[in-house]
Amino acid sequence: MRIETRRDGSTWILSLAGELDASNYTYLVDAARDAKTQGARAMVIDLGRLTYMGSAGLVALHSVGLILAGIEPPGGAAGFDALLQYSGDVPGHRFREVLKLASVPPVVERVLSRTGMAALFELHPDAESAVASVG
Amino acid sequence: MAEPVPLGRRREDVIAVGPVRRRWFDGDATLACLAPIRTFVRECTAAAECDAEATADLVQAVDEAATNVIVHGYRGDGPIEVEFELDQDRVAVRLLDEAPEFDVTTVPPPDLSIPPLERRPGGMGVHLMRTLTDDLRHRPRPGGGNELTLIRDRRARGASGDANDGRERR
Repeated sequence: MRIETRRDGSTWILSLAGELDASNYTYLVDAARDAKTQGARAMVIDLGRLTYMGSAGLVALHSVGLILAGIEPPGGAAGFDALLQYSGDVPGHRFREVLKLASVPPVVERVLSRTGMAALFELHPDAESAVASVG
Repeated sequence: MAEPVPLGRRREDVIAVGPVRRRWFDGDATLACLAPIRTFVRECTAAAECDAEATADLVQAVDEAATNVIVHGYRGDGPIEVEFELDQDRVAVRLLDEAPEFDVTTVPPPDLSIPPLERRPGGMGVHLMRTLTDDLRHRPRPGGGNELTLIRDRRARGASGDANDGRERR
């Protein structure tokens, strides 16, 4: 999986390409952590060039939301420990206001919808509209 | 107790008995093997002339199953064998490992009525395996390890959109 990062003000756009699975989901978590460290207040994850996403991608996207909320996700960059120890409690934080998904391809939409996790995120047809939606 | 049979050493694995029967094996499978396993399944589904939906379902279900073996079973690396077999319109993919015995079909389904924000995103792999297949069967291997069989019609879909209604059969 490849990750390209750019910014629009305090909103960071992370564009993913390739296959997102349990072997590389921490790359996305690390990229989000770096962006947060550099001042990101909101993020757009552009998924348009993803050709596969496993359930580990759900953990990654949820972890990005946690990081934006100032909560360090369990496991951090320590490989798949995060999958073993994960707890998704984020009291009072709303992902949809600060984490937007753009250009969601069918291979990702099927995972989001089948797990009921689509409601967690705000989906946009492209990165530009996602960036514009950030308040 | 029967002696463990090392993966990749079983004579019947190399005997072709159907129009499509293929095998993938790695003695030290890690998470880096997930992509090669998906490629293997895609090659098999192409040879078996599975439709696009069945292919996507099988690739994802096998990927989730292999992830479970490596992450939860081995907590690192270990031998994994994947067998793909087509019989009529029925595809059976068997994952064999030498990890501690664990029957994933006993994992309770997630409560999808809980708001997503309050739900654990981890643990969705088994749920996906259930909903993407027609049947999910586990049995312990003689001498140790697990055999998990994922069954999926190469074309048909259930009216609900899910291949499996959530119930496994043994």
